[in-house]
Amino acid sequence: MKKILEFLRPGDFAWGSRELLVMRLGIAGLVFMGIHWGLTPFEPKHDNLNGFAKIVPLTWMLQPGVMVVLKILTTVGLGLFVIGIAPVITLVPPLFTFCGLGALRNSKGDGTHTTQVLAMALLAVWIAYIVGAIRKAGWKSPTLPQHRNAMIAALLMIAASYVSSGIIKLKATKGRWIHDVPNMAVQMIKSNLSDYYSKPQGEIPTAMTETAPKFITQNPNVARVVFGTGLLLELAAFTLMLGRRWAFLTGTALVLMHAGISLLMDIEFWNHMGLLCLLCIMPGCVDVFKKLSNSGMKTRLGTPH
Amino acid sequence: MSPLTLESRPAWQWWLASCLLVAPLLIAIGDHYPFSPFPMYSKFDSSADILYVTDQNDKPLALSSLFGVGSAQAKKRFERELLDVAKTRDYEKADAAAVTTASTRFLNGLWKDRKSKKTNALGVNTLRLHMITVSLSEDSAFQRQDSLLGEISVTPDPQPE
Repeated sequence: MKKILEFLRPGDFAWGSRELLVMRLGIAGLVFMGIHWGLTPFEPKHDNLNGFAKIVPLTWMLQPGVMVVLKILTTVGLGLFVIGIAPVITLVPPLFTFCGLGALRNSKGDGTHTTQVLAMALLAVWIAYIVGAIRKAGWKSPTLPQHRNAMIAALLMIAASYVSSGIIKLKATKGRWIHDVPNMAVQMIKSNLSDYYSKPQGEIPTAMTETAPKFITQNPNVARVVFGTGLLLELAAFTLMLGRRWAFLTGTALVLMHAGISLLMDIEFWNHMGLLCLLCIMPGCVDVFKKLSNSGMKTRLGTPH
Repeated sequence: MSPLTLESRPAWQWWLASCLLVAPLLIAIGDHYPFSPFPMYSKFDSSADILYVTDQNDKPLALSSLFGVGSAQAKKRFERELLDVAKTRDYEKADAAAVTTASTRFLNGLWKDRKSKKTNALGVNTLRLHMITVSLSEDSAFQRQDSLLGEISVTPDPQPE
């Protein structure tokens, strides 16, 4: 028991420079893939403008020539960010392009929430580097603590997004979310049929549009326990901030939750899962690997026969 | 005195910061890109609509590969048109003329985004907008209703000689 409590004691993140490099590389990859490069020109009505697009006129970004320039600037900016050169400056093109095209896509009415967690995390990273620079710790070549703070800021944004999602579920249902879970069967049918009609091939698959929804309505309490666990996990996502061990445990649980939802609802969570793998699971795996190699070393050097 | 870095704060301050500041802030800001409180599945209605588009033979068209948009996103686009025309996102609450106008606008917009090589290969000359409504009745049985909301004739692109 004492060992468990000791293990669960909040600690620090203590990410090393190699871990931070992998995190930056991974985030840069997710950002590049997450940008809506295929968005076609359109004339949004002012009432329909969303978020960033409401503040700044952005439709010029959709011109083919401009898109090529943005792609080059974003690629160069992300490359320099990965190697740690002046992220206060080099993150501006990727952040502007990501938020600009994302806001335009939402303004077009195609809104999905798949990229928003990544956009918020990137924004948090940029702000953390700015805070570091303002504190005169230097902006051209950030120090290890500056890189670490930037990734902590990203994790903070991720944790907050889960908690806000959990709170909003309770708020929208006046605390009856878990009670209402059996109605999720309808959403499951909707989600799977939507996916089918996006790329129809053969017959409509019945496993997730008939069998599983029927199981949920016939076994409402099983559904409440399964999906209720997901809600509790969201509300407890602040534990991501309690150091690398908690981040590993909570991050793994959240990734498993996303994998389960993806299977049932046919929704993609690549950005959520990618970020959790980079910031929570990868450092945990490094710890396990180190522990194993240390114990292996001890065995090899071990006590004399 | 050493500078007080964010990381030097005790861990409990982090979850307090994330919960007490950022999470409610995200809820207060709402869904404005890049910010979001992630309201998906925050409440469950007992019915749901699914949009699909067919050709002149009522064969469902692959929205993703032909028009670069999934069914769920396409439905949001249609709802935006409907909101503009009828001041409601619910096609069942709008009058028939408004639904037809919104459908025509939506289908014309969709056709504009076509991957013409693929639509030409399929010989598409009509787009029909359908909506399926799935609902859960009191006795936990599913009901499905399919409605044709509108259609437009389209002209395939001229084939290169």
